[in-house]
Amino acid sequence: MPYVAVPDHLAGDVFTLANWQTHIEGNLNAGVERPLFDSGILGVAAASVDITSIPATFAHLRLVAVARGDTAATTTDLRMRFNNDTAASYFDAVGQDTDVAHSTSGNFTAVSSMICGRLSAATAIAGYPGVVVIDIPGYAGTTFTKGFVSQSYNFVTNGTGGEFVRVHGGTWNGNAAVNRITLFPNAGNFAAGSRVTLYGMGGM
Amino acid sequence: MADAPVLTVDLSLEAPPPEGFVERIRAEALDLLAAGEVEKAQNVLAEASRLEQIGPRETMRPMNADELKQRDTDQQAAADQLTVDRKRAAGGLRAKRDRWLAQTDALFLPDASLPTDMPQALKDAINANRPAWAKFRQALRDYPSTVTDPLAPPDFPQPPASPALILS
Repeated sequence: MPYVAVPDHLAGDVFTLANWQTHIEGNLNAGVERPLFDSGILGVAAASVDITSIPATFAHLRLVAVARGDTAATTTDLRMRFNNDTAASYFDAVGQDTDVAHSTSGNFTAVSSMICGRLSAATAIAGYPGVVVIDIPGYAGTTFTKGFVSQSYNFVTNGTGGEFVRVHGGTWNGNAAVNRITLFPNAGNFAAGSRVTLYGMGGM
Repeated sequence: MADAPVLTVDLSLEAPPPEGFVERIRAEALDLLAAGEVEKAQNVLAEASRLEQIGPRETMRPMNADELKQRDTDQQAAADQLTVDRKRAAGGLRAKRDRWLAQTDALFLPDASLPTDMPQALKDAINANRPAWAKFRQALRDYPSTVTDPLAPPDFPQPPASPALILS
């Protein structure tokens, strides 16, 4: 449902129960961006974050993660799956820049999950997470397959090659509305202190 | 190390109210009672009681057998992908090393003769800095052997400041 302009009391509009339902409930439930889920700051490590029963009432979704992996490496990729589809149903592409090199990679034959970000991990300099923003446009549509675009940044060490800026894109070969999103690190777990937030974004 | 749990959330469930919300509307109900608005106060108190019963939507649960199996499959696939990515990154570093060596061969190979039309000042700068450039070129040759993880490589050797040649 699109956003509906709120009545203007200066113009003499009266706020009725119907107004409440349309302009408060309706707009908040569908028309405007709002958080649907916030993991809060994880008190313990988690193998994955699994968000289920995502309502189809928004135009787009945005996931924001501030997270670190606990695997014994400087970095680990962040992966994503839709609707718990574990088959080889995904493609992805990555462009990466460090101060050393630009590189590209991707999975151009179908794989079982999409790389959507890069996180700092256990042997990276302490206290630095990866920050990731993932957009899933038209997640509730049923005409097209579902794609995402994301950007991530993580810092692993002082010195050359110590930070990574990435742009990601990917596709799930599914036409169904995305109603479940699972995020998990390439290896190991999300370290305590990580946080994942899901926003629903409205259309006009 | 024990397997970490899965943080799962069911968005079809009603979210519990923010911290302090129930207490706040209970206080408002008391204000309504004081103002003689008994029915409204009762409604608010009933809503407060309802909200109080709402449990968290999130749970931390152990991975089930399917998830554990999938996790192992995912991690093997990721390890395989990492191997491919490392090879690709190593190739990129080696290609840059090879380019920089090739771009300096004509000037700094021991048997290289400088072009006759090169400005004398540049010839002088090259000749004066041959030891530094030889050291740089040796560092380029040695560079691949210093790389343990091509995805987190050590500093790339930097060319001497003089003469200021642009390597790409």
